[in-house]
Amino acid sequence: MKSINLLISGLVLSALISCKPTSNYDLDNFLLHGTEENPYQIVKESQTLKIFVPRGSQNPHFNEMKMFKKLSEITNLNFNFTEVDSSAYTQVRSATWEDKKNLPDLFLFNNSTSEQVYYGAFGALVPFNDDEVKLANGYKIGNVIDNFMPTYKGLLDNNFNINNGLNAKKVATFADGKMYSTLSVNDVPRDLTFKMFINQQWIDNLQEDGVQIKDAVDIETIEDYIEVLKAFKKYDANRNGKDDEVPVTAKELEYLRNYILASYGYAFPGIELSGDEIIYVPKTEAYKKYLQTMRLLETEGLLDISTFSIKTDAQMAQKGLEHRLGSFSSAAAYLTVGMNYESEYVCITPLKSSYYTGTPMQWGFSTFYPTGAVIPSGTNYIREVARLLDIMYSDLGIQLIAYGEENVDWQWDNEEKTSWTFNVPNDWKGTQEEYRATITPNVGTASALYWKNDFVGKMNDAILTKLNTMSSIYTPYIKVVFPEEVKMTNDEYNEIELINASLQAYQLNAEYQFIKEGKNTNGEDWTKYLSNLDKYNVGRLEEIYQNAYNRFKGV
Amino acid sequence: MKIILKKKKEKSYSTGKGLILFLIPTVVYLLIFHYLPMSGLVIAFEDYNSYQGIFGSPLAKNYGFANFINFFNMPNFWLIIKNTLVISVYSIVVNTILPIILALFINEIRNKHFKKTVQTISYAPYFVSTVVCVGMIFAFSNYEHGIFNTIAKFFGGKPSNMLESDTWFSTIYVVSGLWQGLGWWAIIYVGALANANMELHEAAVLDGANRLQRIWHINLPTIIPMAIIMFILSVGNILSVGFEKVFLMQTSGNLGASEILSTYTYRVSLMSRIPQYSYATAIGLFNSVVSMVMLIAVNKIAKKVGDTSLW
Amino acid sequence: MVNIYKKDKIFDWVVIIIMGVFSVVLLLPLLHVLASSFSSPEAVNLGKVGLFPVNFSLVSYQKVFANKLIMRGYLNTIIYTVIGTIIQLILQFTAAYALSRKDLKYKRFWNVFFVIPMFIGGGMIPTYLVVKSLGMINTIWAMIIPGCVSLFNIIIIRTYMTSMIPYELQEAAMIDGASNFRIFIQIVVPLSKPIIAVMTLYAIVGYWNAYFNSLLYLTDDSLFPLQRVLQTMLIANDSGQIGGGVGNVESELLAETLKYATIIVSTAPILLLYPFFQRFFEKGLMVGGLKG
Repeated sequence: MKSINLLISGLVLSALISCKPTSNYDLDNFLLHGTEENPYQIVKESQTLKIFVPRGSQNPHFNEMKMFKKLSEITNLNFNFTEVDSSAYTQVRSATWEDKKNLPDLFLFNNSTSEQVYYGAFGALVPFNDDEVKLANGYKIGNVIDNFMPTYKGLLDNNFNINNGLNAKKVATFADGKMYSTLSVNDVPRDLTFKMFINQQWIDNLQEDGVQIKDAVDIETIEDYIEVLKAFKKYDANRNGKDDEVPVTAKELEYLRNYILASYGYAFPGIELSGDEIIYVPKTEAYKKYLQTMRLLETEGLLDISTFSIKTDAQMAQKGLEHRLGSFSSAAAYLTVGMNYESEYVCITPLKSSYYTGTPMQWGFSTFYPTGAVIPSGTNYIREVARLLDIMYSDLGIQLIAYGEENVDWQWDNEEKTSWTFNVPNDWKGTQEEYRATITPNVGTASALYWKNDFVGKMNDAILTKLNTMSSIYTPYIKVVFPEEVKMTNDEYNEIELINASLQAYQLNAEYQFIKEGKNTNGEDWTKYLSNLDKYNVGRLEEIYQNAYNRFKGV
Repeated sequence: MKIILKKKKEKSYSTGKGLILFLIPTVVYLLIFHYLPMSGLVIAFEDYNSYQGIFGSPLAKNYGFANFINFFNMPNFWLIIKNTLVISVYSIVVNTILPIILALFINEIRNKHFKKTVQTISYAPYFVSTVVCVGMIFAFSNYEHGIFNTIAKFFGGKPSNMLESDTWFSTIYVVSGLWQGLGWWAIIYVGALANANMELHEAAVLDGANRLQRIWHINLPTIIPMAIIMFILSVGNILSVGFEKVFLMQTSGNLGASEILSTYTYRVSLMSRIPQYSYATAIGLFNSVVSMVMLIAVNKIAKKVGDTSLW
Repeated sequence: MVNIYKKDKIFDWVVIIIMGVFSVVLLLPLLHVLASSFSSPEAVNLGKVGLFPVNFSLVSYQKVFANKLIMRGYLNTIIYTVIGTIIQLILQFTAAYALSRKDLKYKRFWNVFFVIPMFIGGGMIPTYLVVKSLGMINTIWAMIIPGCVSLFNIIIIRTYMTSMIPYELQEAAMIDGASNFRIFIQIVVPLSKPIIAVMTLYAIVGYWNAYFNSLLYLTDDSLFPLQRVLQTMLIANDSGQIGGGVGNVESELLAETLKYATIIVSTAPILLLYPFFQRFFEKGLMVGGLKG
């Protein structure tokens, strides 16, 4: 045992020695307003910022990406990236915090809310909106947003020009009134929710044959929808002479679940805010209706018999490529049915039902998350980082992280700037996305501080434009099931994690048994299911959310 | 005779002392990469956060035992333990016995080329990654095209999505594991059999023993000590069924049989948005304690019955 | 020498038939993997591929070898495997030898010392911190040193040495005044050839397939082992639409065949190694040892 002690102290000692004292920081090297020739310049003499980033499987090295080269060129800053593979990200991030002497100057992207709640309380993070912010050397710089981030401040004040009821400032602010992270903002419709496709060509075929069913655009209730699915099953909708139509499929019920459930008044089979009340949806009557409908789809043979065994998009595409799918949910139809049949599919809007006649709703993401960028205390470079971030929220930064530099990687198609074209070099052998990965980290990951529809949506690309148009029919109905504005305490976050870890497995299994094995939704099975949910602490789960929500409302 | 023995003892005692030199490199490695990180186990008794660090985080509630209490009180505790044990015991029994039988068979093949071929084929599946292996399981049990269902239909059975059933789960897991690992696990016994004493075989032939008798009385005893050690070690790992394959094989239909200790831990640590390090470590520690208890018990039995011991 | 196989023709045939059937059963899924890797992604995805390629296509292999990092990955993996295997064998065999000796001092303590870490681990973060404080992050040592000793293997080797190598041989040498080192090199090592072959194979395969440590400890592409390069490629093709842009169904389908191709690409070299090791499993070594 003595040898172990010796070893520990040896290691600690070597760790101490290896920590160099912080180099002298020159306060006057920072340029608040840039220079006359270059408003973007941040430092006089070149300085290096240490930045911690998640690296996706498609990303090349960050310092090889065009956007960071450009940023480095115009700001006179150098970047020293610590790139952590996304699959080991949380572990390495925790280990990084253990070694407080070597913290980065900036954690860019992927900052968790719970970490901010907890670490903010220790003073480990720089509050962006606090008037008393000081550098590590004690020099007072005051309010970071007010003093160094005019662009971001403007955006916050105008709620990023997004009027969907979500309040950007409240999302960014924690219970102690401080903002520990800048926002990550996304208002591009195609990224905010799923799409439900149905084959209009099949409907046309059947109508031609005299079958009375509604067109896709006229489908408004779950009953209409089921009628169409039934017709797909009953007749030879794809006109190949075989009884091989699969009316509706989904990858482990993904999104189909949300879509059907929404027609009964809830968007998500878990915790959901309804009015001012928190409800665990799977215990409600509406959920029971959902199960009964799914059971009907199952017994009538409308639901793909393999739904619960489909684990990948490619497996779902199997039947799509064979022209056998009537309806499904996917990011884009061609991802499931290929280019040959893509044009036959159209989107259907969220549904109502005889049970629920209120406004239709669609499960979706929030436009704001407090996850963008975090500055750990203990750095002298707060002002430099703040200026850099501010540039990343400006038009220049938004463009760089999306598709690169104007007139180099893309250019406007016209004077009015209503659309622009992305330049992929002719000799580029890979896909467009692979090329984009040489420019920005926003490929295969959601790494962007501001993914802005006003720019991204103007891309001159037939496919993307079509996706945006299709997605925009859902935009008015999007429901964020629990507002990002509400923050919990660390204990609450942890308790929720533990309850969910057990509960979700049970609930998924129960759902399967009601749908596939015909457990009875009216009777003993249902009563037992409800009492089991109680055992799995559903009551406590609701209570935690409700308390947090009430606290938030009270403020 | 006595004198020689005594002399021998003295001699071997003095050389035995120098043996420590052989141990030192590995011991240093173990101290640095295994024993030193074990100090991290203290977080099982804490509410760990990386800012305050491994040794600075606050003690968990209930005198540090809150994580354990939460674990034992979780509603599906017994289900998870049961599922883990079913898969584990099933695997241990099958994986202990079959590689021995395979090795004995391979040892009896007299055509060199055939022997090489059998061995190469039998160990090749080991290199198929878990992802692909599970992918093939899903493909083979596909409702429409899957080979299993084709066979089932041929024999008049009903097709089904096999991976959606609790009943089939452990069997599919163990059998696919055998496909991958059987040849690989047998290698060690094949290696040991290569050293089976030829003189004993020759003597046995002269005594009129047939092949089966010689396999039973000479070859089998040769590999039994190794097999017992393997068995003891696998019993020590009784709760440590790896998560990756089970996790990939999970569907909402089979969760009643497929949610095991490691997949649960994965859910609350690696896969979680808010990783519960302290909690996951507490589960790991619980697993270690069970392992040690099982190990000591089985080792005791093995020592009594088979005269083989880990220590 | 007595022919110990005489008069057992029927027995031989039974063995051949059982082993033949067994091999075929194991082989079929492997053929499926091979066939899939040479088929068009559509055919694979539609479940049309059985034991022979359908719509023969090299697209997956082209994709694999178009990756700039593949050759570098091969080279790195070979380096890690060679160095790692040597270190692992030395550590495991020296330790196992000492543990196998009846006259090791504090033998019981050492045995327990070697068993404990098999069942009690400190977890990922503490191990990461140790590796980091040793300055191994982003060096080849991060792929070689952590995990370079398998305690399981040490115990297997120890068991082999105690049960297969007659202790009298060592005792005799001791009486002759041979040093421990000499006994180890001249008696124990030659008599351990089969287990050395097994352990070498285990070590090579272990290093060849090592992947997870690279996620934690390596961020520099030029150090990535082959498996990391391949995995990265698989994940990259698997993601239909996350983040800003949009994927396509081709790459989604390709992801499936790629899985099969990567298996072939990564295991072909190592499968070719096996026949080389096999000769160490041949009979007669022990007899030679005893008589020599």
